[in-house]
Amino acid sequence: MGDRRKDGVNAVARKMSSLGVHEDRLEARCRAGDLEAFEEVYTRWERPILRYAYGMLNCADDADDVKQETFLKAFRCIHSFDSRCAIHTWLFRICANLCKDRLKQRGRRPQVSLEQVSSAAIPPGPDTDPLRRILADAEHDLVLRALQDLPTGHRELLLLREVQGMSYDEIKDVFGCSLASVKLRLFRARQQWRRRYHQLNGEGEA
Amino acid sequence: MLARIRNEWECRRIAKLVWDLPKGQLTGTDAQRVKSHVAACHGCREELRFAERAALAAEALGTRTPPSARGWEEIRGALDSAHPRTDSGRTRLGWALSAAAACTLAIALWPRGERSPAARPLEQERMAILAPVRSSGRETPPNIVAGQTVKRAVRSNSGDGSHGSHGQEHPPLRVARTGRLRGEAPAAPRRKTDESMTVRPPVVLISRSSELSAAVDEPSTLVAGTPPDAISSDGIVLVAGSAPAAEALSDPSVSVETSFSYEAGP
Repeated sequence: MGDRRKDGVNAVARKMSSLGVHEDRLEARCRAGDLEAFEEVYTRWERPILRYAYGMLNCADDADDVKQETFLKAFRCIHSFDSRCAIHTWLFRICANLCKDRLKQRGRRPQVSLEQVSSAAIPPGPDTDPLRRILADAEHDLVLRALQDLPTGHRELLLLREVQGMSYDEIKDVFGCSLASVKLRLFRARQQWRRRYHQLNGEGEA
Repeated sequence: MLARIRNEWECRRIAKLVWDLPKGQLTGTDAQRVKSHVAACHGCREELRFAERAALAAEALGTRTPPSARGWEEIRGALDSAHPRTDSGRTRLGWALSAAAACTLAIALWPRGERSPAARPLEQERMAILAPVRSSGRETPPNIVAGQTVKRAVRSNSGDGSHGSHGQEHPPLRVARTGRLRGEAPAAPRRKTDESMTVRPPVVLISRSSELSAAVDEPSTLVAGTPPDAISSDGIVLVAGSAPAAEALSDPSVSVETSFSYEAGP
């Protein structure tokens, strides 16, 4: 039993190690201007970047533009990529900056658009009970609306942690701040998110 | 009192863990600790409930994000147009060596005589003095108007402040619009050009010439702010007549006088 578990751990370690090596090679190939390596990076990270941009901008067209711009900019400036961080954190850093620029261009905080975050756009999930699904969708709408109402700094943190599932270390690399700062800001962002949700839900502060 | 402080500390520690529970990121001990705490603590139970809602909504956001309408091909096209495609094994060092060899060869084979205008670096053509196309003689040239074709004599930027002219033939340019930025043009003294004309310090806006496309970087900035490296001591400015320049000209905040004249020199 013990041996089997040990084998499993070793297998996972080997897998992680090979993934790390693969990432390293991929980054080196990107730096050398290999378009096939770029394409691999694009295929791997296109969707997460788009999701992040959509969460920040709340507009499909803008998010699509920013996503393309992120990869173009990354590939054009690959020589400035610092290999101390992972390539995906670098991509997210570029994307975060582009999103901020886009929001500044708009000159206002993004308005909550329940049409855009429409539950009608959701493909039918495993929950086949229509009433339960409608209730769940309404609940998600409210939570996401509360997220959209947060300041940009909080929203970007929450999107990276709660939506993208990034670790604290990765988030630290994206924003170039300390680990303690990430944890503190995330704590405050979560508190504010929850408060806003309860406000929208008509419950006041919980 | 002590118990209350201890509880508050425990709540703070749990609050950090509570968000990881719905994502399945907590190991057995931590998960058990959170569960037993929230069973007895109303505040943390609420926190956990919201964390669960947030996790589901985050998942929903992933589903709701519309698919991208633009793909890799577009990026590849843009990268290909900017940099011709390279073989995957070719390194930057290889390119650098190739480029260095090509430059060395070009310098070795380059004729030592007068260079053609087209081969002159664009940076040296930043400042230009305009002269209208004339059939002959030194009569006073007509006022330059939009749409007119003009010749230009390019002044080299020798760095010593001299304003010598190459006196060569250059491709004619079409004047898109002439004018002067009110209050922007420097009060430079009149001076002679190679065609013995004295030019008032105007601002001249010229249509795009492919050769001069890099002569002016930011038409809108140029029109609005007249950066010093893009306006000559005569106040003559080149603006590429591209769409942004046209937009800049139509900008009502930019004040442009449409009078411009040449005077015959002594």
